[in-house]
Amino acid sequence: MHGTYPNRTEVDMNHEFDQFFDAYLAGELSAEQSVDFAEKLDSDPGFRAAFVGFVEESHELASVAGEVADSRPEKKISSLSTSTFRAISAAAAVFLLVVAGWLWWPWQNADDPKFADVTGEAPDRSVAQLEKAVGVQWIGPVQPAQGAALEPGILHIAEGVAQLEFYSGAQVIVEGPAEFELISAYHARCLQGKIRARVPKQAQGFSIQTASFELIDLGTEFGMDVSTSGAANVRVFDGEVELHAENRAKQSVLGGQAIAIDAEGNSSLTQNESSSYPDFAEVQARADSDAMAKLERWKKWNESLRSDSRIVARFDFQDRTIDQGAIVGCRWAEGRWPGKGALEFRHTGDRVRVSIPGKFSQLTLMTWIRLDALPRLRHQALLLTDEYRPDHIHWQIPPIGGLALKARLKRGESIVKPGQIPNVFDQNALGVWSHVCSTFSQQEGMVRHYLNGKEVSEHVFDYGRPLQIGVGDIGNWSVPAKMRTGPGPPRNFVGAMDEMTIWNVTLSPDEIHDIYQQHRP
Amino acid sequence: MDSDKNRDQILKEAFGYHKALVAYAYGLLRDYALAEDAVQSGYVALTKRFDTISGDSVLAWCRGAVRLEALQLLRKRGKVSSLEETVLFDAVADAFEIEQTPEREAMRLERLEKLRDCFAKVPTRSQKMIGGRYLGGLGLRELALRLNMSEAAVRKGIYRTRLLLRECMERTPIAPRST
Repeated sequence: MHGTYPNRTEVDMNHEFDQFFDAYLAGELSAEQSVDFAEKLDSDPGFRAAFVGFVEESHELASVAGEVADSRPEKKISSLSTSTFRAISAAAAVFLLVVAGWLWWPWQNADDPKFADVTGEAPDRSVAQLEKAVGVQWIGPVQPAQGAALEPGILHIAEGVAQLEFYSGAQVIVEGPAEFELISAYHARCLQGKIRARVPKQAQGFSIQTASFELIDLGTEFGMDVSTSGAANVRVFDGEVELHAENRAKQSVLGGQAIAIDAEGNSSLTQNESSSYPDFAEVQARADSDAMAKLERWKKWNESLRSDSRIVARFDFQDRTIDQGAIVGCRWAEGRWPGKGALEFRHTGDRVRVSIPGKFSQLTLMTWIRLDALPRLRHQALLLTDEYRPDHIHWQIPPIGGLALKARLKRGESIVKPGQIPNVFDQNALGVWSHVCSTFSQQEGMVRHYLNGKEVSEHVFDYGRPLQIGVGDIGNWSVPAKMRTGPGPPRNFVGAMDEMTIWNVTLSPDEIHDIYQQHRP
Repeated sequence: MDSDKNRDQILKEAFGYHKALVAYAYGLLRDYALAEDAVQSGYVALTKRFDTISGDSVLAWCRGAVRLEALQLLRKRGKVSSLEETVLFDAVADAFEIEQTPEREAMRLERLEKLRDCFAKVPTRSQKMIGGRYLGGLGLRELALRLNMSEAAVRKGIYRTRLLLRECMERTPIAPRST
């Protein structure tokens, strides 16, 4: 390592060397490899220097890792200080403490994007966010929810208006029918459709490519109307843009000017540019109106559910009251739309205490949640029964964004397969309203999970008995004092919930999809 | 008094090589806790026999003491019993004796400061891999189990983390020290 570990420059990039050294340190070399290793140390100065550098580096990494672990204000240090390890040498005690600290570390988010992919953690590839989607009919597999982070890719919009906020700071409205490709935080491609872009000074250089030219913004607001042939109209409302077409000199277009470009990239200023462009204020007004209409539709549906005898419990979290539970902690917040209530779970103790008697041979559990965190090492409760006794359910989000509906077995039973699927939620789900549903059918012996109206998994769940809920928590877990195992692990949900419904029937996939479609944000 | 002063100077210099000696012992023993033990025992030997050291060979003398302790520790555990293991042990000890110099030691502080800065930027999972592997002495299989990853992914993750740390250290300037 040049300047850091001398004489290692030639071998730093050599993975085989590092693997060889690591195998030595781990005691994994065979007798033959050991002899070969010793010979190389004797005869190859580069190998020898690299090896000593590697060992020193390993030692320093251990030292720094120990410092980091020591700096964590964890209770485990005090618990260890009373252990029998006190008697051993100070160095060994420090070693054990830092290892203990390491073992208890809570997971944290990655800090430096450059390092984000070294461990297989999913890197954040998103370049923009879907700020608003008004009346949007998406075409194809990419159908983002409002608020979703958007990765590079093509958005196909049959109709409606989507407002995107690029991470560079540029805001773009795309009006369908449109085909708009996100390339990076500073670059996009419009193959068809009307757009309007507002580019602040910080995002200068933001560019949009078409089939026949590229528009580079110099800090402005402009509109583009791109046809499928590649011809386009551009109007600059404020500031200045540059047009670049192949084999043609760049052309500046100033505020108040409009320009027409044909499919070959020939451009001309025009006074009669007739395109109408979407407007930010108009999109906001339409979004407000759309949200109001959805809220009214939801209210009617909510009212209709009062007479639905299949419902055994419903929490609409509207009007800042609930009938069937007791709120502990929590905070009222805005739900999917302005005027829709939600309950926010922030603190470790936040929960809603519920009591839902009965035995259920069929169940549908449905909720709208906004996840604000995805802890890597612990579960987050959706609905957990207190004691987790046999037949009582636990509905929760396992670590790494899974979804699980389980019931505890009776002593000696082992045939039930857990109804759990990993990786339902990823970082793109954070801060976005998600529709989550799980169903159970004793007759079918199945558990199915749905996310945003679509089935994501089904599991054989040959339970053979009805399930129960009884006394439990929404968003947390209360372990009864009589349990001998002591305090349970934390299960608190971190985010918001804006309704939860429990049916004593198994809703069909179509019903679930319909409910999602009708009441999505 | 002169004898006391000489003793203090030798001990001070010897303790200044603590990290180098632990790295040396770690190279021989491949176990962090044992390495610390070997160095502690080496220091005990030093305090008893400091008068046999000349001022310009403190590091070499200490390495000799640590090497002896390391060999004894390994023999107690039934290691270094075969010819191959003995050859390897000697080759590693010789490699350190050639490469590890007081001049190189003078750069250690700078390296550590850079490493601290860079390590802080690494995701916690990578820190855990590194800590588990080199501080905790965990094998790849155990690490993989703890981190819910495959062994191959852990191996690759450790390698890539080290590579990125090296690159980071290359481009990290030394931060001015606060007073």
